[in-house]
Amino acid sequence: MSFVLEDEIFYEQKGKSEWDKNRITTGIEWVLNDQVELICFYRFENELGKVLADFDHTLGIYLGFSLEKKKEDERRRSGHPYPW
Amino acid sequence: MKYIILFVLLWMSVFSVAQTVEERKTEWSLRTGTSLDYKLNKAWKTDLSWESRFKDDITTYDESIAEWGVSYKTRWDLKLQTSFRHYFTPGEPDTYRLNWGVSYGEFIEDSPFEIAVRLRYQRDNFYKKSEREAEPVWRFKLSFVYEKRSAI
Repeated sequence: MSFVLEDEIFYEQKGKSEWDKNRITTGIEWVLNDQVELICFYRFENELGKVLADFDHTLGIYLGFSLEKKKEDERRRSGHPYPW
Repeated sequence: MKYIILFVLLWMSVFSVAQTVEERKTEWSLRTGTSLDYKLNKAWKTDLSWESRFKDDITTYDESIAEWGVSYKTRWDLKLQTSFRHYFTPGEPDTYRLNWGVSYGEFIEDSPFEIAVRLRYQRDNFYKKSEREAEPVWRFKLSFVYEKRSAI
């Protein structure tokens, strides 16, 4: 099982370059068995540099199925990102 | 008297903000998709994915996205990634997104905590348009992961 907290910031390079938006994501990943993993996440996203900024709340579910059984050492992740 | 002045000063900003009428509308949308990943070997990986989006409180079809990505993990655990994304949007010209990125994740010694970073550069554009139409965006992501493991 993994717990993830991420922050991603977007910088737009068009015309007047500016910080575009910010994205905060938190999630839980369950490795159910050698072949199945389940990820649930929540994301908050808001526009930057605007007086009345839009913001999004996102709830997501990801179900991954591996055709080949993963070896024990392959389960340990490295170099994320998660697939959201 | 000084408490009244202090109260007025503290609440002045609140009153001024409250005068701004915010017009927000909550809208529900749905994104659903599937992806197929294929690990060529320990270093190379490729994936194909499809996503469909619905807007206006999930009553209207918005657009679909097809994406093909390739990643390569170097011997220093640095991962290089690239992807091509095509947008199918009804009533609008098809657009695409090109993406290049590099990511790195490191467990803190032998603890279950991992820190990962990813830097991406992406360009959105219409087909058959000049480069000036492109919308380049830099994205930087910082991740903290706690991985509870049974026994490794």
